[in-house]
Amino acid sequence: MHADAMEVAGGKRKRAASSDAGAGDGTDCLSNLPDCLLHGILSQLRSRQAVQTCALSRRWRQLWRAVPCVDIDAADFLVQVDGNPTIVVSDPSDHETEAALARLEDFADSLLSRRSLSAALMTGSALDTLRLRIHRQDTGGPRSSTGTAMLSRWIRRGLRLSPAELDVTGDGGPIKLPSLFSSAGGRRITKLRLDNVLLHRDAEGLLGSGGLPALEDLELSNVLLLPGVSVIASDTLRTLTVVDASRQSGLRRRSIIGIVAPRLASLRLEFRLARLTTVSFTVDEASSSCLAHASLRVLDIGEPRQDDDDHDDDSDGDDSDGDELDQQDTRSLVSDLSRILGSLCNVTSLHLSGFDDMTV
Amino acid sequence: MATREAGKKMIMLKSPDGMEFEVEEAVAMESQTIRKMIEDDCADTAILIPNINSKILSRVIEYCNKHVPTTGATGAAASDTVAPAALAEDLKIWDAEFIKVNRATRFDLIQAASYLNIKGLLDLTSQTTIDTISDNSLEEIRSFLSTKNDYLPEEEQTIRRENQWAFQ
Repeated sequence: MHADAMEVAGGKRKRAASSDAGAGDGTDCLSNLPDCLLHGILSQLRSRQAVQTCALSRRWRQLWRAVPCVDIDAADFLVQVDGNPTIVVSDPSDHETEAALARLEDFADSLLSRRSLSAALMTGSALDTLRLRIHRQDTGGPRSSTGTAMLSRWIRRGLRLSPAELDVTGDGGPIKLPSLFSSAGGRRITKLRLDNVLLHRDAEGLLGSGGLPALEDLELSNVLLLPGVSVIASDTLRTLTVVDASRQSGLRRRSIIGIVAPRLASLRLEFRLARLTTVSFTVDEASSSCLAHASLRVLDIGEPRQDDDDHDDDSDGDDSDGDELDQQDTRSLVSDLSRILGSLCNVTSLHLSGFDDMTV
Repeated sequence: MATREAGKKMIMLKSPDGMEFEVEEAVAMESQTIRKMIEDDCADTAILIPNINSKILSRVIEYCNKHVPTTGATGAAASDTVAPAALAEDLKIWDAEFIKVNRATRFDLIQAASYLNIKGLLDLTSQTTIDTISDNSLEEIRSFLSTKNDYLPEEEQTIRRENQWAFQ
């Protein structure tokens, strides 16, 4: 199944060399590439299109079955609302949305079950990447349980394909991860990226020690960690990125997340000030020994002030201004930041931005 | 091609059509395949690159020359200071110019990049193809790639029916 790239590339060379003369000479150069290279190309496409290539010609008929990437994106099943392609899962009430949802579900379920079947028949067909995306609700309407349930199901099934990388973009709703990973499916995961999902307290089983035994790269982007998730611990983690651009502080209760990762080499934190008042990070001493690159960024700076309906305004961090961030918030912010900075004793490259206006 | 500088180890790459290219070891090691040969001590001073003709090999070397990291930190978590960003932008423009080649050459480069295991070059050379395929209809893809539809009409119907879930 896994043809050696070198051998295959070598064996096919003669033909290609002879076709050098012609420019767009009508030769189907692409179909002549070995399977492994075509799989590589197909793995850059979203799965719907990758599967559709089966109808191109006989050469392409079975190729999609072994593409090392599964990329299911709700955008491929968009419905047009008022001329704009819009979110599929937000409003499952009208007929068009319902039909689009059904097509999306059909597609995802069929693809995942066929891939599981292929995986059972072929050895060494584990996935490189499992990417699942449903769309954000920018509308601010109620979160759909449909989207959440679909995502959770696809993750559960997709994990049977033992992906090395899992990339999930949600609609802000809660997804249940720990139970999904308790199967062996998470053991190969080296890279995990979660975007716009909500993690419950039991996510600690996943993010905590031993949850993902091979994890090297963790990115949490606009992930709402409910109180109770208090630690990110991993013996293998090398890169940690936490980005939160959402305006709401979300929670009233402060939570402090301890980072315990002795091999951590790179840490990037990007937050709005409003969020920093509710979430804070600490890096334990042992974890700072390998930590060479650190980047802390406050996202509010340089943006126009917006007085939207959020009660948490963008504060530019100037505490004398202090209409939203009160003195106490600012003090704890500063002490948090100092603590993070203080724990970065071995860092060789430290990048700070967005602090221009702060009176620290 | 490569100018000899004091203290820099040079490696000779030979194409099967008899051309020889002298390159800095660091440049040659942009290829993971060559890197492994060098690290395993399989490479003396000359390495025969089978199956890649001199025309393609010289382009590959041109790419590696441009992309070899300059001395200094270009490691992970690159900082946002002006210089690296400008450098990246410069590389992007250079890449865009580099890949303006005919289709046959592009596919030769894909194979060479794959054999020599140069990820950046493989990504660059594949990208045009990916752009061609993505978001185009099957008919358009066939015409762009000169792919002959060798299915019988009823065969194609069957394929589409089998995979109905991806076409609806």
